[in-house]
Amino acid sequence: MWQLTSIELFKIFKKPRTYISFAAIAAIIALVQLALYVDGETYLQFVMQSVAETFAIEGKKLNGYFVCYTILQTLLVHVPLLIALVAGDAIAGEANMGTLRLLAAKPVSRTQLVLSKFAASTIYTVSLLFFMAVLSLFVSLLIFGKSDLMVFKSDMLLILPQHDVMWRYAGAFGFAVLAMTTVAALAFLLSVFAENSIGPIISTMSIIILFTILTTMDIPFFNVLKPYLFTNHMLNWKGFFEDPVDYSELLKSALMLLGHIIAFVSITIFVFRKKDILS
Amino acid sequence: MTEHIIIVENLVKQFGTLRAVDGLSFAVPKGEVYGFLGQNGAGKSTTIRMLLTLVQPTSGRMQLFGQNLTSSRHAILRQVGAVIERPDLYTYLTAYENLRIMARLSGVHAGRQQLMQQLEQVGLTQRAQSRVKTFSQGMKQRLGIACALIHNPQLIILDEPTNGLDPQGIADIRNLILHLSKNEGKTVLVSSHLLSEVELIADSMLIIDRGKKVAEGSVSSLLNPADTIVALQTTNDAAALQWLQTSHWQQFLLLNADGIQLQMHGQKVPALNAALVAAGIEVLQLQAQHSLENYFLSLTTENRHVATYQH
Repeated sequence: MWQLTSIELFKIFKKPRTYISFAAIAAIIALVQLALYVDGETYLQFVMQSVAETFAIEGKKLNGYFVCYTILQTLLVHVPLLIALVAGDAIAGEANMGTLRLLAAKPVSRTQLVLSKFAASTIYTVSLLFFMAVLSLFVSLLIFGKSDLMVFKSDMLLILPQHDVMWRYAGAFGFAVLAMTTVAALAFLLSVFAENSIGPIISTMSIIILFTILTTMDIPFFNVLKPYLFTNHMLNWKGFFEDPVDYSELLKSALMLLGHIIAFVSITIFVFRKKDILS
Repeated sequence: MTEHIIIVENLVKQFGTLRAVDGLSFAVPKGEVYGFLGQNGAGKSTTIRMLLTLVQPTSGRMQLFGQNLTSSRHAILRQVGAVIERPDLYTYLTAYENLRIMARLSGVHAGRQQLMQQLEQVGLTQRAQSRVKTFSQGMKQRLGIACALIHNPQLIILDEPTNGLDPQGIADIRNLILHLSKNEGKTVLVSSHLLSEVELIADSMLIIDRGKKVAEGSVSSLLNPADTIVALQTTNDAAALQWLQTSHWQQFLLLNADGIQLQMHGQKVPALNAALVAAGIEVLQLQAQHSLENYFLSLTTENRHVATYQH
């Protein structure tokens, strides 16, 4: 199984499109860091305008932790596209190239083939988020330094002491891995039905947008569905920046995402095992 | 008793309303080059895909190396190498990387020396580190064959291996197939839509049309020269026909044929020509064609008037 996964990883990391995601993340993070470095105070005044008259906050407000939190808020919404770019290509891309029949005619079970491809997609997802963590957290800390983290909620301002922040980021990135792996599993499932990777990539994004709209709409009919939509749980990494952290809520979300991953991958295996490979 | 590497019985594949393979049965003898002949869309590729477990049969039985394909898939596929239609490979990887991946997928941990030897066999040593996207069709085909052979399979399945190749490329593939069969004792199943191609390399062949078997047997028996069709064209066909009907050649005349046709041994053609000339008939064309070839050509024309080939 590891041998198959290593072959899949080799193929992923030899493909130029894989590096589009890394380049895009690096560019966006560098831009946000540059903007905050040049004009961070104006941004801070903007986000603090509702509390500026009530509170007087001393200290280094614009610090590495704050910059990382800002980046995560803006970037994690767009990462699903970068994940779908690779996961959606996993099976459909091979069908398009004509190499799927080479793989399926080898003495390897189709279940192993699907699992190794999914494992490779997951490793790619983890690598991408690790890369994002290094750039957004550690590089920001180097540029902006350390201090307490201010988190603005809709009805409150939370200040987390700097010694109490790092583990929260570890938890948040861990949760993001789970959320993005769910996206990868969805793109992967859609990939099994397609003959080229454009379809699964667009379909994955369409489903995420549709579910997100359903999640944000306050209509009683959709409210029944909300707890079961994975998009409703994807951004719950923010739960690690509550005080105290609601672990039961986080666990519930994590299990929901895990359930989706298992379901998506199981359906992919079921479909792929029955599939006639004609491409 | 002949040992058979592939035994297929009553194989059927239905795609919706289309019956792509319709009750096909055949057996491939060990160590032979077996030609699998049929026009495009006859069901060759679907059959090959079923033999490689890419497509699930609707019904029927397939046995390779004496084992059931469904229950012993892994053990069987370890002994099979295949190039299926186009030699599609990972174009962003080098020839060497493609070969290494295919070796590992086939369960072989080939070292650099073995991989380079395999590339040498197909004449790609100089391009080992070139990306496949820079390769010509012929080079891709050769690399595809190298990938199919890297795990030293006993059965090699080649689906239209000469498609898109230049004459030299076709000759190279033909020689390689003959080398694998005659010198290395491999069994080769090679599909084609060209009888002339199969005729040159195959020991036995199977002809299918619309998913059904039309003819099967050794090439020498199927292409027996005693079964030659001679088409005659003269400056005066009516007079020629009248003369033929009164001569001893009358016994070879084919009734209901388009134009003047005779069915006879190929060796008698020069004598026929001499007799026609001696009788003062000006011959424009005297075309000898094996009846199987004649039949096969009729399949590829729009007028599919021949129902079944009778051998």
